[in-house]
Amino acid sequence: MIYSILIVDDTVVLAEAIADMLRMEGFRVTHATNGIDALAMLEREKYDLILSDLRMPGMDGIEFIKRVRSSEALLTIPIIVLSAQASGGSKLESTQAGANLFLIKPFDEQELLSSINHFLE
Amino acid sequence: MKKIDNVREALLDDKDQKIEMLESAVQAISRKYEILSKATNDAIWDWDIHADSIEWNHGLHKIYGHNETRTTRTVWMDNLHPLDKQEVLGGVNEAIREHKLNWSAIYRYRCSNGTYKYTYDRGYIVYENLTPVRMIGAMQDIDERMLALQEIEKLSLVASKTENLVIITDANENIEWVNEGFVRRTGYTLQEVVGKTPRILQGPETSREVLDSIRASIARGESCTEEVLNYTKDGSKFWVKMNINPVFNEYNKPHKFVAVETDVTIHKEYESKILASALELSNLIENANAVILGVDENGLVNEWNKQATIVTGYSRHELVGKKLTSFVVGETRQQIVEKHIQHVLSGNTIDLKEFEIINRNGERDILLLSVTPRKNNSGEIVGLIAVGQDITELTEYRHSLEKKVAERTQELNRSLEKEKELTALKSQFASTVSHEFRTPLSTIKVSANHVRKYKARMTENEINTKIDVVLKQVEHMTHLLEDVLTIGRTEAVKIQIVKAPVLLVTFFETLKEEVEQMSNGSHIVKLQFDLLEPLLHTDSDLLRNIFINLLNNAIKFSPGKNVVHLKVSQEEKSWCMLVQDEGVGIPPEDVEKIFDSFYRASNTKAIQGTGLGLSIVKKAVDLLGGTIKVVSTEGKGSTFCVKIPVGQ
Repeated sequence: MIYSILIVDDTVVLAEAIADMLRMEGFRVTHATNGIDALAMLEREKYDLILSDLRMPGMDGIEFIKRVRSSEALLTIPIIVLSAQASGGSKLESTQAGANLFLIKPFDEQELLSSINHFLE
Repeated sequence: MKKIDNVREALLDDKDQKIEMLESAVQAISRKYEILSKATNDAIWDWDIHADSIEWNHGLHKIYGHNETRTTRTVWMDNLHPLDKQEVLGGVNEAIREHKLNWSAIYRYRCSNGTYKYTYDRGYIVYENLTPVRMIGAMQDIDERMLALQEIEKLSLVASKTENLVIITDANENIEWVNEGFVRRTGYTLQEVVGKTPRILQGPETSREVLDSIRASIARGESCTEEVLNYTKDGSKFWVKMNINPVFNEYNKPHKFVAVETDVTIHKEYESKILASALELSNLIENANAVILGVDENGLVNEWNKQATIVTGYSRHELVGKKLTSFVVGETRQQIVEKHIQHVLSGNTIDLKEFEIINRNGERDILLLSVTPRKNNSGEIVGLIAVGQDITELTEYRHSLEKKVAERTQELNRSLEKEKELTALKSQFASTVSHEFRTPLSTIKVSANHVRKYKARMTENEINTKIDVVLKQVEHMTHLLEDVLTIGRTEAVKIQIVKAPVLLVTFFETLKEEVEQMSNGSHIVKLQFDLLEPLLHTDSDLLRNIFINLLNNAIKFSPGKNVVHLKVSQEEKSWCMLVQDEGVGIPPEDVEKIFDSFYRASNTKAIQGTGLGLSIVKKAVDLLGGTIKVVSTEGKGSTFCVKIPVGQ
């Protein structure tokens, strides 16, 4: 089966680079540039995993994760945060909001792939 | 007594003849003697030496109270005063031994009540063949006279021995007598001054007024007391307190003057010293550089010195005798001050208390006063004295100082706050910069690894795209690095300004293309020119820096919009360049700070940036001698207005 991943990141060039890589690994990948768009997409389609940035215009990552978790249907969808904010506060905020994993940019691609596979098994 | 003399002669001369005739004569005389002796006040005595019997007349009783009319001589002897006895008896014996006819003595004789009376006793001794057979005499009471004499002696002793100067003059003021005290003090002998006027004691500094007053009193026959400056014989001065009393004759006319002078030089010197120190003291009070005021027990002003006048504006003349509280304390505080006055009048002191007063001009002054009760010689409180300083200026100074301290504290707090903000900004900068670097680094890493890992499955075109992404991100990071370096450079050293003519339209059109490309086509830049001349003499690098940043910001902070505006116009003295967007705007609380290095407005968290762009813009504008202002409404957009002066 083919898993569907949603990337939420306002930096288009990075999001596309990650998407390219995941597609190479056999995932179906969709990209949203902000939390509001991403929520709309989550309502329309079924995704198996979310990769989300934290700092985004409109709705930031923390708020986005909270909204995701507030939906019963999305209560268990794995969320991996990819953030350039290295401070410990961001990691704590993310996990408290409901993220499953917090990776700091630039991240190790192998670690990201292993984690995705782990969450999807 | 004469009769008795005749009898004696008769007895001596015609002893043998006419005895009978004589006897009858004697009897007649004896009768007369009886009568006489009864009439006299003296105690008449007749001493029969051989019989040792004394016959006394009634005088003995009358003067001395003894009842006997006949006694032995021993009785008389026993009544003699012990101190006089020896001399009296010796006198009698001597008179008899030397066959004297008369004897007399003054002695004290004891009365029946035990007291003694001065007695003048005179006797007549009768001899028969040179042998004394009888002694007849009379004792006269001279007690009063003796006492008077003693009194006089005492008085003259006093007059002569007193330290005071005693002068007795006649009615014409000629000196009749002076005492030893006079001689000692003045140096004149009695002989030198007798017949002279007492004016010899006066000198150049003797007060004429006082002398006139004395003379007037004397002329009126009145007594007077004055203090006069006298001169001794050798010319040294001495003060006397002189009391002059007239002595009246039987016609009630003053015929002598007695002057008693007491040397008061020491008192006078003391007095003048006291006067001098009192004067000094009052001068001190008057001229002291402190407010000194006093009120009596009724609250009426009795001291008011110069400083009090200066501070209050009320003169001594105006306030003395008036109620203090009616003047300087102001209506509302009268009762409080009255209370304080009563507090001190009942024996308390007030130490260094601030009193508010109202001066003559109605202005408020503050006095720092110490108030103590004022006592008379008996220690009774008769008022109070307040001493103090006008501390109005001091108080004002204190207030201004307090204000200054408060201001300084506020300033310090502000700079402390600023310092804190700066620290916060620096750490925000560090985190921002690291964030800004992490994102492109991620892209580079992912893309490079992508090529390495999947290149076997990739077309050449796909590989090139990935490499392009990497290169573009490197370029982006280079720009970022340049920004950071620019800030560091402008803050560290002065940038060299190289001015050259810039063709504005071309310059901005090139810029427009560059910016639009950088935005990946999300926005277009609309240019608008209103120029009189095409050339601006300026540093094109700095100008580029300014507008690249402003336009990039305009695009970056207006997500969802697709146009930003650049309007260039020429005013009288400057070029005016506006960059307008319809973006998120700047919150009012951030407007002032957006040109500070590292600062990012509170609504930009989600938008990438270093917090350096506007800081670089501001530096560049400053270097060109221009100004930059921003007008912004949050949610509606911002307009940055850059003005570069003409001819710069």
